[in-house]
Amino acid sequence: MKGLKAYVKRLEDEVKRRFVGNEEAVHVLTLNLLHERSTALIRAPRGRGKSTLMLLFLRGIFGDDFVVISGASEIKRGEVIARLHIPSLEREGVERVIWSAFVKAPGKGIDEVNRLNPYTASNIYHLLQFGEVWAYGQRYVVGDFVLFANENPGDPTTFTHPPPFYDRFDVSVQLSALSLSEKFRLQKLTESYGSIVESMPQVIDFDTLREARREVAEVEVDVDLRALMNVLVRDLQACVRNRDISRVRPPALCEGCHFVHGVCSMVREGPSERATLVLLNLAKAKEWLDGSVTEDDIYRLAVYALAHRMELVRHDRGVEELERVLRRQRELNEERRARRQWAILERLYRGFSRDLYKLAKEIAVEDLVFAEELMKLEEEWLAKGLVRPEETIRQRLMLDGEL
Amino acid sequence: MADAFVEFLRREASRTKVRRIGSALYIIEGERTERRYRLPTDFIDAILLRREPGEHVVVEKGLIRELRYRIDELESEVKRLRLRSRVLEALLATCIVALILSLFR
Repeated sequence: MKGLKAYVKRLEDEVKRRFVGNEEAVHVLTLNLLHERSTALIRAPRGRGKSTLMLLFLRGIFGDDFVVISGASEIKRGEVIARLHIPSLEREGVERVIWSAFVKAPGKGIDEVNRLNPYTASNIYHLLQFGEVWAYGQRYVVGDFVLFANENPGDPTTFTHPPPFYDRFDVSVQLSALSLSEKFRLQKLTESYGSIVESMPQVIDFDTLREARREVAEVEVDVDLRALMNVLVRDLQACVRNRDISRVRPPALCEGCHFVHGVCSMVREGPSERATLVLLNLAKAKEWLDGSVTEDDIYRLAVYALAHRMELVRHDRGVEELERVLRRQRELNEERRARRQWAILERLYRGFSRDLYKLAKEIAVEDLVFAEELMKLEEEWLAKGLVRPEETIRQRLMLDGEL
Repeated sequence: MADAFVEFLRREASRTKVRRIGSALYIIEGERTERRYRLPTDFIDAILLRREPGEHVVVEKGLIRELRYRIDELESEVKRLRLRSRVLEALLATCIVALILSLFR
């Protein structure tokens, strides 16, 4: 195990030796490598080293044996997925599919994802999610891979890809500009290395990385941290007015809502269930590679797991707004702990108590996630005749929240 | 319930101090920390509790009506008290004059 860690740490070190600044982003990209079919999106304005960082990682793992497709050039389906072997079709009338190098290579890169045309992007959807592709009625199992992509969302020639496309990326990192001292370091680096990408050695091979991935998959994450991830994501998803299917979105949707003070009112579109899975993978990787993972780590990692898969009401503020929402959610969690609400729920799961139920209802009117769990219990109690429909929290929230 | 969820609830319960007095159950709450991050709707806290408001303050129409009503009430109360104060001042002045006159007699 130590040997495998040393390989992964050396990969990170070699990348950091050549890539100035953005150390946390590099570490997150390294952690994200440690699970099957890892996909990472690097976002930045022009000239911040998006492609360089992508190539450094790919070279560090695959040497020269990787395939990069560029959204900037007019790539066709044949280059991304597959094409038909024309002689076989013409002479024998047989549809022989020739799968593209991009599909077959375990090391994949997509340069300028934002310039991929929607048709090409939709071909990549399935590959990212299930590790397989379909063309001309035939299926090719891609299996495990490493994929890095980059984009400049501010690019005027950008295609606006739909949210499900971005949701298929495990993490997104936003590269910041270099500080004054870092610019001096970059100049020194280019003078000493010449081509920074060319100087990157292959420090690990894909089989070794897969071995590391298998070990990481076995890592146990503490139930408190699992709860933290799940509560965090649920807080960002939950909406008493069914935001997911409503045509009106916050803040208009929140007008007059009982939960207008909640974190939910800051979210226009919540994250998918992939968010908790990605957070769990990152937590396992952090435990394996760094020896520990804490609550603070989960909140830091959440920025990278959520930024590209949800939309905030104040999205114009970018990552700063997401950090603000996460701070608010953290404060909410501290309040939950202080009022011992999960302990109250545990006692209610063990058996109905009218006093505790009354207390739980008071908590539920302030906390939608807690209210959801209490409502599930209420259904059982209603069936047993322990509570009356008019006294339930569901009834109260329907009246207050105009469900 | 999923096993991990049960485990999470049990752990939270094990950290909670519970006292039973007679048939009543007391759950002892933890210490609450001061809210650090404010939402735009912390208007009442900002006014009544003198707390630092958030960057933007949003107030509902109903709250404005309530505040206006309270301000009008307070202003009429001020008017009433000012009138009473004037009357008392005049009465006091009369009393002082009467006292001085009575001393000179």
